[in-house]
Amino acid sequence: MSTTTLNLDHCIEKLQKCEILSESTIKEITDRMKELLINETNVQSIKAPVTVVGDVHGQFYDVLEIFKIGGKCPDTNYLFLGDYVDRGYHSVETISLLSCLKLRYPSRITLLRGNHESRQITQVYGFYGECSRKYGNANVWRYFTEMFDYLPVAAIIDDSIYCVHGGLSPSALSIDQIRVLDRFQEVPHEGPLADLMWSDPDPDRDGFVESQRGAGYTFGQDTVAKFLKINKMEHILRAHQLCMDGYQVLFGGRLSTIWSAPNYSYRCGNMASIMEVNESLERFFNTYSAAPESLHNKPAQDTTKELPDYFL
Amino acid sequence: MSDFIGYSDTSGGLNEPGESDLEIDESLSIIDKIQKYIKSDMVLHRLFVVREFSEVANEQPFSVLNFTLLPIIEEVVTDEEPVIRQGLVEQIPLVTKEFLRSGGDTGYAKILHTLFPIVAQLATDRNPQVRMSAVESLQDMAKLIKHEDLELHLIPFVRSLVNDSTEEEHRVQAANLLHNLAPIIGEAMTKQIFLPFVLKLSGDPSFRVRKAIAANLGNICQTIGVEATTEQLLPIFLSLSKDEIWSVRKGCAEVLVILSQNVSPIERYSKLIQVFEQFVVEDHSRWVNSAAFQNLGPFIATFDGSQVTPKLLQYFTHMILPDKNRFPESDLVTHCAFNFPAVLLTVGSSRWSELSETYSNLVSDTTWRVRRSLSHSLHEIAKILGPAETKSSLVPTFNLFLQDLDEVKVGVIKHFADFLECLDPQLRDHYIPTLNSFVNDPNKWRFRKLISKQLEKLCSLFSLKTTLTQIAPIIISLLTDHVSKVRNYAASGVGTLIQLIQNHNNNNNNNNNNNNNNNTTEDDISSIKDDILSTLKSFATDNSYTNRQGYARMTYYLVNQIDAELFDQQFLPLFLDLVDDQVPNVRLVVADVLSTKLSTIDRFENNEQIQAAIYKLKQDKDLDVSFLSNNNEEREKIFKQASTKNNTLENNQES
Repeated sequence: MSTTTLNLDHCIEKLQKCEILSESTIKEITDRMKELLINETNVQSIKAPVTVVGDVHGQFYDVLEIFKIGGKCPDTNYLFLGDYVDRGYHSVETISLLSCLKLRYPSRITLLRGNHESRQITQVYGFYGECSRKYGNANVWRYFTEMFDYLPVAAIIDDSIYCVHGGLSPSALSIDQIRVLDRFQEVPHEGPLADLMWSDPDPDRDGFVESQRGAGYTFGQDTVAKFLKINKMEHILRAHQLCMDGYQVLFGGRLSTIWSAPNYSYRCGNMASIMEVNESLERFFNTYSAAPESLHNKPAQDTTKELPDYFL
Repeated sequence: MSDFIGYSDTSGGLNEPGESDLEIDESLSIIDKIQKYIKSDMVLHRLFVVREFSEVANEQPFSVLNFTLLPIIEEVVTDEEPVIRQGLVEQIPLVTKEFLRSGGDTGYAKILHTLFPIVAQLATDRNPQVRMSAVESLQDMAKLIKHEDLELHLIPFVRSLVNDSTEEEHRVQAANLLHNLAPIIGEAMTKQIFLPFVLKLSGDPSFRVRKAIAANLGNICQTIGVEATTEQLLPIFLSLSKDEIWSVRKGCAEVLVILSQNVSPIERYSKLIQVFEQFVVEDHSRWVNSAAFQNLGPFIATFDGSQVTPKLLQYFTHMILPDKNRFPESDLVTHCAFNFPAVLLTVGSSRWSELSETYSNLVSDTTWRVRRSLSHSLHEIAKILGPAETKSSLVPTFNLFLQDLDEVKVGVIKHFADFLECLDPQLRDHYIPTLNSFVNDPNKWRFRKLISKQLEKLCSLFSLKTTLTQIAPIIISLLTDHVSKVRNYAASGVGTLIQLIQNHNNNNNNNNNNNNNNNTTEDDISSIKDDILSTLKSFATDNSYTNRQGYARMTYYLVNQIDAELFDQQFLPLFLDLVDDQVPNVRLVVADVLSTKLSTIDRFENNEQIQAAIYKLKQDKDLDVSFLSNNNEEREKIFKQASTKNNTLENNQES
């Protein structure tokens, strides 16, 4: 057991310079995260005002951009809808920073689980490789993926806005059913837990239809109306799908998709947004494009040093 | 771009990666790990544990360092893989620090007799990467060793390299070390011991050694000062500058500037200009020529203005003209643009006629990087030239840059207020629409941020009426910007506006009795003033929590920016009401402003309202709010207590 004490402010400072933390520090962080998250419920209740963030996918400089635009922690409350890792160049830095912020300000930030917070998916889409490359072994990947099993899967803002990474499940139509799922496991292939993280809305087809993705379902306007009515909710907020404008509102304003990775995968050319929900539960999409540092195709070598523009 | 996954019922998806041979057994203790893997046949294993040396040294008692780690280090020195030796030499200064910390006299003796010689040995390693890292480590080691031990332990090593007649590479390394170690060993030892070494190496039969010493004169002349440089180093430099090998002369061209900074003005004028001319006029090497031109701007900047001859200045202006140059090169345009402000500052505005044509050529260069540099420095040129010349020579350029690519435009936006300041007041008003176009562009928050940072200055550039009618709306718009950073910078710029209003009120009160002219204008102004003040104050009770946070942030700055009475009567009460705000994010900014700012203001030392507010927030049920109501000192204490508590807890668990 380590006798050194985790200095979270120091870790956050280091991460903000895009420097990774040591393997042993990550171990300690993920251990503490598990202790913290085990006490969170499947469906976390949170209070407005809160700023909701969609997929960020390891685009670290765009995550820093989110805090510049939305306000830093703890000044602003954040709800992240998952998909922190994979695809981008800096999944390690991204999930390390978000974990440190969660430990430092547990009541200011909520982290939900996305379909990429999974052992199987991260082996295909980049996080596993990035951990091995940056640490020389897969331990850090193992620590984080173990921690992912503890993340809550949904949140409700002021008893009114239901938030989840993917969408609805035919086998858990009431939120109370979601509350009693056993979430402490790898994302399964099927069943309600998988559906919450894999499903997508379909404006053209009512009801539940098996998804082309190979997991989850598509769900239509009628399903959304029914879900909101049964559960006495006003709105569904979710992420999971790329939107070229950074967001998309469907079903007569009853469901919003938030996408927070600008120029996704460094080539899609899309905008991104975060959703600011104020004290009166009014929703505002704050849109942004890629951070200048993110536009460099390769990870920046040293962004802390600014070159002078002239000599006087 | 959506994700697909082919889950199949039989295979259960992908397999978890198994334990490969590469992986380190993490169940071992750190010392066991090192002992096991340092002998591994796999380079990665050895590298992994070598990089753990400093962590081990940090965690383990000195006996372990001395009896277990040190013997391992001594073995690793002879590792066949350069990357391992490099890893080792990078670790040694860190390990040395731990020896110093926990080893007492024994530790220090081990540093002098074991660790230091290892670094010295690796400084002459056959692999260049290892040597480079070793030189860096040697510098660190020299800083850790007591000054009086340097002469006995460091100098003999350097001397042996200087005198090593069999190995040319060792003498090259010696030149390198003289440069890097001079600032550490100090003026006296550098003069007494290093200067003779410099002299010896400058006459070395190998040109590689002469090139190395030429290129490495910089720190030496900075360490020994003007007198010794002029008397002893300058002659060496002059002879090297005539070396028959071009790379030696190129080395001289590269240190010309730093040498020039450290010689007497007379020698600079009489000797160094000649050296420069020799490089650019006579030298047949294009590399020497180019290196000299690249350094010309900084070289000119080492002179007093009056010493810069028209001819020297002409070299500077001609270096961008292909037909005036023996070895034309596009890079020189960038250097010319980058150094232009320093050259103009050195020679002064009276010499503008010699430089203006070059400047026109530069600002219309087709390479945006050239224009970007000039856009960033335009306000400096304007300051040097003064309003009249700025109006006639620079305003057109300013206007062009405002229409240029964003990469160029950013320079004039960043220094917008500084440039306007160099214009006659009546000309400044023309740029208010430009200002508004940046503030109203929703897509470029970084430009809005740059304007936000200049609000204080912008408030001082215009007439009161213009400030109230044009600048105040800009400030209020930036205070409510969608981007947090823009709002926060704007909060720091409000004070100047409020103080302007207050000063005007005071003047008016004084003049009221004998001045009844212009009553209509005065009435207008006074109603606008009231509107602005009430708008700013309304932030405190606004429906949006970000505006209430904004008010709390403004307060942080206002307490230092505006009259005490005005602050205490008009702004403080609204701020204190926010102690009871429903939203914790507002209360935590209030707590932070109270604990880190207001409680440090002398006149609030015994202010009961402020004490009560802090007391109340310390009891807040929200942990972030109560934490932030502690001042920095108290916060440190809380962290320390938390860490002792944790350690005790963990120690108890272990025992």
